[in-house]
Amino acid sequence: MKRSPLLLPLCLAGAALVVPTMTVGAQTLHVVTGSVTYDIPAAQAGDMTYDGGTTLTILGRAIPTSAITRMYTDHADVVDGTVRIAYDGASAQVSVAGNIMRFVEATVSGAHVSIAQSDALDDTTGEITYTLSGSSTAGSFLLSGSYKSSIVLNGVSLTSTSGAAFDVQNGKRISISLADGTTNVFADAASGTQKACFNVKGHVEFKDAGTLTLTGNANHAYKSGEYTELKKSTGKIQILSAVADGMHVGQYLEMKGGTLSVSGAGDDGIQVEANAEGDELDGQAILSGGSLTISSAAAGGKGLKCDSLLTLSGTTVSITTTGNATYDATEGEYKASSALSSAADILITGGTLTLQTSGTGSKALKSDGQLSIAGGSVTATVTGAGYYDSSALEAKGSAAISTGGNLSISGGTVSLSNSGKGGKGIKCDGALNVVDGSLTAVTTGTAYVYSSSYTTSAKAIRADGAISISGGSVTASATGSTVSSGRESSAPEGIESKKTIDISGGIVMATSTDDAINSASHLTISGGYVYARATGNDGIDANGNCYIKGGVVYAAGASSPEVAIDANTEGGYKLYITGGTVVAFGGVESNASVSQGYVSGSWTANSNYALTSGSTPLAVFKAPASGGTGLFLSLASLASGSSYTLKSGVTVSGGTPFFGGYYTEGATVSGGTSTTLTAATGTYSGGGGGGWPGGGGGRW
Amino acid sequence: MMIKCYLMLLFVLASLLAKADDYKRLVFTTADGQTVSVAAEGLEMTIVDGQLRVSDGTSIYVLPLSTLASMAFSTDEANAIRTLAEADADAPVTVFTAAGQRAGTFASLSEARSRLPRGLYIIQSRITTSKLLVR
Repeated sequence: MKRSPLLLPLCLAGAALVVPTMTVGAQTLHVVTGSVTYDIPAAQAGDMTYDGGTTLTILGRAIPTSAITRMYTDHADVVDGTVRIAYDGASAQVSVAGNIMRFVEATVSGAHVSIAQSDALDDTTGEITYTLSGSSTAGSFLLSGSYKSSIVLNGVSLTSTSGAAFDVQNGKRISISLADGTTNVFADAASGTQKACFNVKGHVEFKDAGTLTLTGNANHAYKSGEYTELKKSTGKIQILSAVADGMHVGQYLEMKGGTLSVSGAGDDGIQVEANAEGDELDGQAILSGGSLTISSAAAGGKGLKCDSLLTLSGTTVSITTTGNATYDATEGEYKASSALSSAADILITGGTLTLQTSGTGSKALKSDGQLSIAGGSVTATVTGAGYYDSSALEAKGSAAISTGGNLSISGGTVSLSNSGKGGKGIKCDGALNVVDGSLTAVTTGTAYVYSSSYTTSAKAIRADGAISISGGSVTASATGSTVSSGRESSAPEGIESKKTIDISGGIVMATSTDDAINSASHLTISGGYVYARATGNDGIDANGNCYIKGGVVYAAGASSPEVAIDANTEGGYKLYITGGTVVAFGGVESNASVSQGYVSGSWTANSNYALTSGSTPLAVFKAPASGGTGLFLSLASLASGSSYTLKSGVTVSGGTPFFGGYYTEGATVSGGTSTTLTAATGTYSGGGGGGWPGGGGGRW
Repeated sequence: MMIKCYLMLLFVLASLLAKADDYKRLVFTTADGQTVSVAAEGLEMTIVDGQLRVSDGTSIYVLPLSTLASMAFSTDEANAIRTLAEADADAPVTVFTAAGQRAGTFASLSEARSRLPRGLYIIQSRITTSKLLVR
């Protein structure tokens, strides 16, 4: 490949742009004033003027001669625009490059260094880089100014005995480099009015691969008044403990890289506070890279909470909270702890989220607004029990996912478990919509009973709004035992909507003690594969009409009066079967309207069955371990008046298994015992009863 | 090969960007316009009792602050600017014995050399403090 003739000049020009200005070789004049030394390259010094012997002015800075303890020359290198602060026990030394000496006022008291950066500093000179090194157990760093600055932490360890250990009162962009290979430690005084051990008024951008360790002994460990960004090159930041928040970030938090860990916070692990009205990112947490680990034991505390949108697209997040719900006297209400929470919406498109909570009423993933999961991996394990909220007069349970608005799942893998009493896998105050991805919600707890008047049930998935499933896979299991509150019995449900349920695609498996799938209004299945088994109630229960128009439905209910598929006939509603394949153990609701062919029979637990037309299997399925008597089968291919063979105890080969093998498509069968059944259409009056030719009754 | 050439050129460029001028002298200008200099290499300067004490490692030069107007580095050779030693040659001197006892005041260093007995003395002029061995 022919090289461009412009390549060399361009390289040289580019090199000229990036090589820092550094004076080497020639002499450097050092003017020492106590703990502060000004390093002036001879080439920059120019005329250094004496004024009546009382001051020496160099590069625009007038130095009282009475303050000069020494001047000397050597060949030390000086990098323009730099200030070096070296801590050494009870003292500190500050070195200021000559070209910026007129912009920097440094005061050193023991190992407390205070630097006032002049407001006259501007783009003409450019920003100053402050490099901190050394250690002190009674030291601090304070920087004030109004022009952006860079700070390099180059192996510095400071414990302050008075106020913050690191305090930057500069409202502009503060770049903080964690120098590669260094460990930097800050701890503040246990008393004082400082906002944090490590406090920055402006916005902070972390970079480079060193380590930063913070301990907040009076308030927050870390606070930024404006946004905090962890760039991809960021190393490790660890918050060991804090009286208040581990990190308190104003405006927004953006994590592009780095390893951030927070533990021992007295309040929230990380709080992002909206305080820049009009800024589109105000209050947001944007997690796109790196690793975030938070552990919190604070009562009512949050692992990470933000006031606005929380976006997870690439960070590996692991949060554990153990705090119980507590009464917040300031707010006048109970607050439960949560691992990851937003006062607005949450959007997950990637990354890995692993959450664990164990406190009473705790929530693993909580959004006051909408929650959208389009990718990534979410694993939430909750063990927290329910509690009685005396201010709201309500028994409340814990939840793996809790949303104040809609929940949408269009990708990714979501695995939820909750063993707490009254616990929910998903508690959604809005509508639940699943179009793709994988959702598994398992609850094993019983109901939480505070008193006969205050109880909350365990549910795998509960939505106050409509539930719509059109793709992906949804697995819900709520297998806790039934408990009595003295007034009524309460058992866990699999999937519940306080409005309608529509299933048009995907694979849905619900197992429970109480209803496996329950809607407060109409329930419609028009596609997909649906498995619903309840050991103590109906498999599918619609408190309105129940429409089965398509798809494959495998349902099993408990013994009479429960059925496999129930509609609210007492309220004048009905079950309508107009399409699809229906396999129902325990029968279906009486007076069901079945416009396609159906047959009825009996069944034996755990046996493999095939309904055949001649030698062609029409439906191949396995009976559950227990359920109500009677077997109801309806397929679009069944013709009224025609005879079909129900074979029990068959051997199944090949095909595509669904529901763990309880239904198989495209399989071949062999062997078995045959029973001839005649198909019918129209109103089904059999309910869950038997009376069918051949076979034995179903067993529990 | 081309990459090596470019790297070498980059190094050279960086070197060129560094201002490698070596300054020969530190030049002091007094209020009355006179200029005196000292070698810029290895200087140590302190301010004591209103006086700037300049040491080049061999001699100590004393300049009253009240007489100074400015100082600046210069790349000029020693011959271009009258040195502190040269400026000091015609100045009155006070002589002390090695034990620190005052031995007298003389109009110039050469007069002191001609009139003092053999021995080691400390010579203090308007500008310098130095040692004198009279043989």
